[in-house]
Order: sequence, then C-alpha cells, then structure tokens
Amino acid sequence: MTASPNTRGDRSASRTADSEPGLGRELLARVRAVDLLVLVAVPAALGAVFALPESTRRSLAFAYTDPTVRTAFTAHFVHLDVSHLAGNVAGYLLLAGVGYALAVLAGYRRFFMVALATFLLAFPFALSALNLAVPRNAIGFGFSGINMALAGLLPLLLGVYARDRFFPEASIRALPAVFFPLVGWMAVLALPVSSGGLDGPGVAGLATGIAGVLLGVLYASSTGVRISEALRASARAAVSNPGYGDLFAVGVALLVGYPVVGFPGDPTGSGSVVNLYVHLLGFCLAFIGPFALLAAGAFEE
Amino acid sequence: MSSHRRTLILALLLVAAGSLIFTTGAAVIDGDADTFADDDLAVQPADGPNGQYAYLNDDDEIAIDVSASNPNIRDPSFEGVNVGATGTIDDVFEITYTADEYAHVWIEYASENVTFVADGESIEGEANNVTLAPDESVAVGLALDTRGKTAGTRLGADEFSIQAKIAEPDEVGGTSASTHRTGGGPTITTTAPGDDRREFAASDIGYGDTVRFEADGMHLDGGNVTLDRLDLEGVRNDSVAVNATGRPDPFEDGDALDAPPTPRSIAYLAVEHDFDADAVDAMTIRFSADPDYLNATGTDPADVTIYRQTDAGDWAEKPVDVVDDDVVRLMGLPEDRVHFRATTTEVSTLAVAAHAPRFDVTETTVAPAAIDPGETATVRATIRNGGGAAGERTVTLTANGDPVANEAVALAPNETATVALSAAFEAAGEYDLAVAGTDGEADAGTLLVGDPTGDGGSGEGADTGGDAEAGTGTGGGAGDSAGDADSGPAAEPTEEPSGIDLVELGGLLALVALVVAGVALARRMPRS
Repeated sequence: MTASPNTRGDRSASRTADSEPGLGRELLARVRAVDLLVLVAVPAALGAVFALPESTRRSLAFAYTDPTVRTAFTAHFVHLDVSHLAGNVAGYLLLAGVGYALAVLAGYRRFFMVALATFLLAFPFALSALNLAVPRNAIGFGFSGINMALAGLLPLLLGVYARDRFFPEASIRALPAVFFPLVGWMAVLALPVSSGGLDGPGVAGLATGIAGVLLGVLYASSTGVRISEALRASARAAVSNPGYGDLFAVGVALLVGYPVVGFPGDPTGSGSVVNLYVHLLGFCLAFIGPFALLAAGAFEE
Repeated sequence: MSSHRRTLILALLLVAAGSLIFTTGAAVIDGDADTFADDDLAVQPADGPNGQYAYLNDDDEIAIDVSASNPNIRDPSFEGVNVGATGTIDDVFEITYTADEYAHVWIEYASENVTFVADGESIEGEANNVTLAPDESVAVGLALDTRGKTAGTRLGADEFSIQAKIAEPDEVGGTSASTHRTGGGPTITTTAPGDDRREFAASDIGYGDTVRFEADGMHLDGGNVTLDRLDLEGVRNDSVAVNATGRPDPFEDGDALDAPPTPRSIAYLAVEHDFDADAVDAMTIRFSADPDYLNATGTDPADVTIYRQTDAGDWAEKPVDVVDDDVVRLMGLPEDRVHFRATTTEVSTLAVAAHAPRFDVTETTVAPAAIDPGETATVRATIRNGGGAAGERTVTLTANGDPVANEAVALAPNETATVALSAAFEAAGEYDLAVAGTDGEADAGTLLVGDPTGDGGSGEGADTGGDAEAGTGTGGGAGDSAGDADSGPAAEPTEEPSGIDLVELGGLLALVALVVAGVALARRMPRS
C-alpha cells in the first residue's frame, strides 16, 4: 500500500494518481462492455415501450383498482408522454452513470450490477404492491421509482468509493448517518411549510427534517464519527484529488440535489399527480436492503 | 177571520251578495246580523214592531216573511197581506255600514207589487241609493201594492239583493290646486308643485273627524309606486297642513332604510305636518304599485311593507294590507295597479319596502376533508333565510370557482335547512370549496384530492409535467382526456406518473456543474 490516499496497493500501475486522465483511463480499464450494454439496454427498453401505441401503454400501466402481476412490473417501464420519458431517461443516465463509475472505481462493480438487476426486476413488483396500501382510482406508471432506487444506492456507492479512495479506515456502518438526514431533506422538500396547525402539513416537513438530522447525528456519534471532521475531511479529499475527488463531489451533489427533482413541492399537474410515495419507497428500499448486505460484508471484493 | 184565499204570500230572502265587498272595518252590530261584503255591511231586523217580519233563518240569512209562516209572528189570527190593498210596512230591517268609507247602498229587486223604501222613498236601483257614513244605518221598509193580485199567490220574486258601492271621492286632485268643501265636512286644498310633491291643507275640521287628502298618484318611485291618499283620523285641530314628498332613494338629509330582516327599500315618503303628534289619532296611507314593476323586481305584493323612521332614527315596521281586487273595483280605483293600505299612529318619514328572502350560509362541513381521486366528497351547508319573505334558491357548490353540484332549497323566513352537496373529484390536487347562490358566498374549506403529502407549495415542475401530458396530441387524444379529468367529475382514473421534470433536472445538472467548478476553484486556491 502506498502513502497516497487515493490508491490501493492492488490497483493498476498504469494509473497516474494525481491527474484526471488517470481517472478516465482507470475507468476505461475497469468498465466492461457487457455492463455498458446492460446500462444502455434500459433506456432502449424504455424507448421501445414508448413506441407502443398509447392504448397498449395504458393497458400496461398499473391500475390500483384492477391490479395484476403483469402490470405491476410493466408499469414502471411505461411513459405516456415524451417529456416524462425524457426526464426519467436523463435521470437514469445521470444516476446509473455516476453510480456505475463510483462502483467500478471502488471495486464494487458486482454489487452495483446485482443491485441494478434487483431494481429492474424485483423492485417494480415491490413498489407496485406497496402502492396498493393506499387504495384510489388511479393508474401508476413511470421509471422514476427505479431511478429513485438508484439515488438510494448512491450514498452506499459514495461510501464504499470514499472508503476505497480516501478513507480506508472509514466504516460502512456509519452510512445511515447520511440516510436519515436525506429522508428528512425529502420531507422538507415534499411537505411545504405553511401556516397550518401543528397537526397539519405545515410543520410536518420541518419536523421530519429535524428528526432526520438528529437521527443522523445520533447515529454518527454512536458509530464514533465526528460529523464536522468527516465533512471537512470529505471536502479536503474532494479538493485534493483531481478527477476522483470531482467524481465524489458530483456524487454528493446528485445525492443532495436529486431529491429536489424527485420531490417537487406541488406534485399535481393537469389530470395527474406525481407519485411521491413511490419515490420515497424506491429511495428507502434501495438504501436499506443493499446497506444490510454491505454491512454484512456480502460484497467485499 | 180571514182565510188564506184572501191573502198573498210575501216571503223574500236576501241573496248573499258576494260582490259586495268593502274594506274590513269593525262591526258595530249588536245581536245577530246577516253580514256580507267582508262583514262591512250588516243586515238585521229593525228594532220596531215591524222588525218581526224579518228574521235570520237557519243559514243566518235575512228572510222577510209577511205571512203566517213567519216564526216570529205568534198571533194565530195573522194571515198575511191582504189582496187589493196598498200600504207601507216601515222599518222592517236595517242595513248598517261598518267600514270607514262612505258607501252608496241600494237594493236590487224587481216587482211591481213590492218596493223597498227608506223614509218613504224607494231605494231600489243605484239611482235611488242612500249614502251611509261609517257605522250609519238605514231602516228599510216595504211598500206594497196588491191591487189586481189573486189571493194565495206569491207576491213578487223570492229573492232580493243589497248592493253597495264606496262613494266616489268628493274632491278631485288638481294639477295645481283645488279646494272642495263637502257637505258639512272640512274644506280641503290640495296643491301639486310637482309629480312627487303634494301640499295639503284642511280647515273647518270637526272635532275628531277624518280628513282625507287625495294625492292623486303622487310619484314615490316614478309611476311605479305612487301615493294615492292620506287619511288623517281623529283630527282634533280645526285645521291641519301636510306636505308629502316622494323619492325612490333616501332623502338627502335622511337615512337609508336599515332594519333587521334586511328588506329592500322601494321608495321613501316624507310627511311634514303642522300639528302635534297627539292632535291626530292615526294616518292611513294608501299607495299603489304597477304590477309590471312588481313582477320585474320579483316582488310579491304580500311582501310589500312600510317602515316608519322613529325619532331615534330606527325603522319600525307598519303592517300593510293589500287591497282586495273586489274592493279596488268597488272603490273605483285603477284596476291596473296593486293597491296597498297602511296605518301609522305617528307621522314622519316612511319607507316603502319589500320583504325579501335572504339566504345565508351559517355553517359548512366537508366530509371527508381528503379523498382519493375519483371519490366523492360531501359539503353540508346550513342555510338560513334571515329575510322577511319566503324564497327558493339553488345553492351551488364550487370547487376553485367551478360549479360542481347544486341543490334547490326553499325556506320560510327564519327557517334553517341543511343541504348536502356531493361531487366526485377525479383530478388530484387541492380544491377551494365554496357555497354560492346565497346572498353571501361562503367559504367551505379546502378539499385535498390525491397524495396528501403533495399539497400546496410551488411545484412548477409538476405543473409543467402535467401540462405536457395534457398536450400529448400524438398520443391519440389521451392527453386531452387527462386534461378533462381536471375540469369535473369523471370516471377516468387519475394518472400518477412517477417521473421528474426536465427543467428541474437541468437545475440539478447546473448544481453538479457548480460543485465541480467549486471543487476546481478550491483546488487552485493557495493552501495555507
């Protein structure tokens, strides 16, 4: 092991540690064509589904009043208008691209691919089924739930990436300290502050946000992490590691910024309402399951 | 002893004359009487000995019977009217007029053998009428001429009728001024400086007399509502002067009508007078309205009322009677108008008004306060008619200003009812509910449809996404149907796209770029 904080002893010797081309080259060396094919297959599939006649697409959407196993799955790949599709594809490319890069550079490619496969194949059923908990006359569709799952995976990937690149001593177990404030952040975004009563939505968002931050602080202190120190060290690592640090910073920005996109303050549109519930479910499930596996050491490579 | 063959049958029955209707007055009749014309005319047997020929039969009708069949005649020797005789039976019955007008009274009866007479003069036919003052009576007798009749036959027709007519006004209102002196009555001068103003003066008034000022259609609200007459009753001054002025709106120095049941003011009448308040018992105001005007303003004549402004400035309501059509005919009033009469004991500014229904929402509840798209929410609105007239309204529930349900409700004054207004809401979102159709629109709260975590706020993204969805023309019109779902109840399920907005995604990318740039900048800063 060298003294450089951004290297691991078993990494390729071709990498020059302090330059961006080093990141690009290392990425290029680690990326597998089949992974890229899988990653690209998703937007292709979404596009193909979008090419179907609208009546067919509607029949593939998940009707809560008439749920079927088939539509529980297909609904997540159905989009009814092009802006909806474009938003989800763009979100997917961002999250999956950054996530994949973080994963391969951290040596967690398998972890990422398994998680992605799970999100694509199993999450649709889980998310649709959980949606039935709130019965209503509506149809659900769209890839965003799975996108949000990728966002939920992001803190884990950032964690393993940071541990691999910057803080070899860091523990993955401290990651819920990031998760709880993020959930609180989503609550603040989705539940607007208004002058309602204590039981109204006016304070609920803020309250959940504060609770999330407090939980994060508690969790961090219980795992021996000093938050201010960790933040400072992270910032230092990002700044002092060109390329790798930039990727880390981009990941963090996505992690904080994506909830703003996924949890609009007013989710209602003309004749439709954005399903925030599915977004939150996707994020939480995608964090909790993989975190448990990570913490158990299932993907240590 | 006379036999039946030598006598004639004279039995008459007063026809209950429905056409004889006078305004209501207090009856002054002692004992039983046959009353008609709204009880304003009473007929009863006269007090004298000949009164026995008249009696009230089992139907309380006056019957005149000058024969042995008359139950009042106990004398077994009495057989009836002799053949071949002439003569008069005076004071058989009395007609008393009990209302507060003067009336011409006469009797319609066709017989060459029997004539109704009063003081020896025939009162048959309108030309021979007698004029009765209030509470005045006339004793009516029978003049008989039985010459040439055969014994045992019926004398004359079976029935007679008493006719009456309110006496024509004694004086005629002039365009400028007119003075008229009725026999023994006061001298009255009426001046009309304008359509909406009259100056009355009366002199030589007998103590306690009634002075009648004819206003001759003085405008209160143009020709729509006019003052027709003012009667001062129980005047104790020798002379009085009254100025009356009409306005459709409040007088410059006066107040607008403001009274609890929120009546709608129609016109104002100022009455200035030179006498003390206790010099006159009461003032009766007769006014009339154009039926077209009442129709156009939706005013039921029964809802027309009068308010008098008290010295304290309050408005006190005075009861108003609608003059019956028959009386209008009888009094010779214009039949193309609706006539009213009201009496007040004190004289000051008056407001002619109409009671109107006033529907107010006193309470609303929304149940449930939050629903899923496609479900029905019910607003229960408690509605009270606080106005002075019954009415019917269609109460409408609006969501964000658009009507979504309505219900008709009819309420009597002071009546309260609760109506349930239900509507299904297809499109998710927050709806401001209100109950309209009442006199004040009432806020009914907010209904949340759809994901309760997503209400309010400033989510431009969601709106844009929704708009884009509604505009998907290439999608085969489904976008339109999604848009329609917003406008009203429909069976279409709400669309719940899980997606993100492209614009916001652009913001996210900008954030990422900023962070990268920030990191790069920080990297170039000299380290300490």
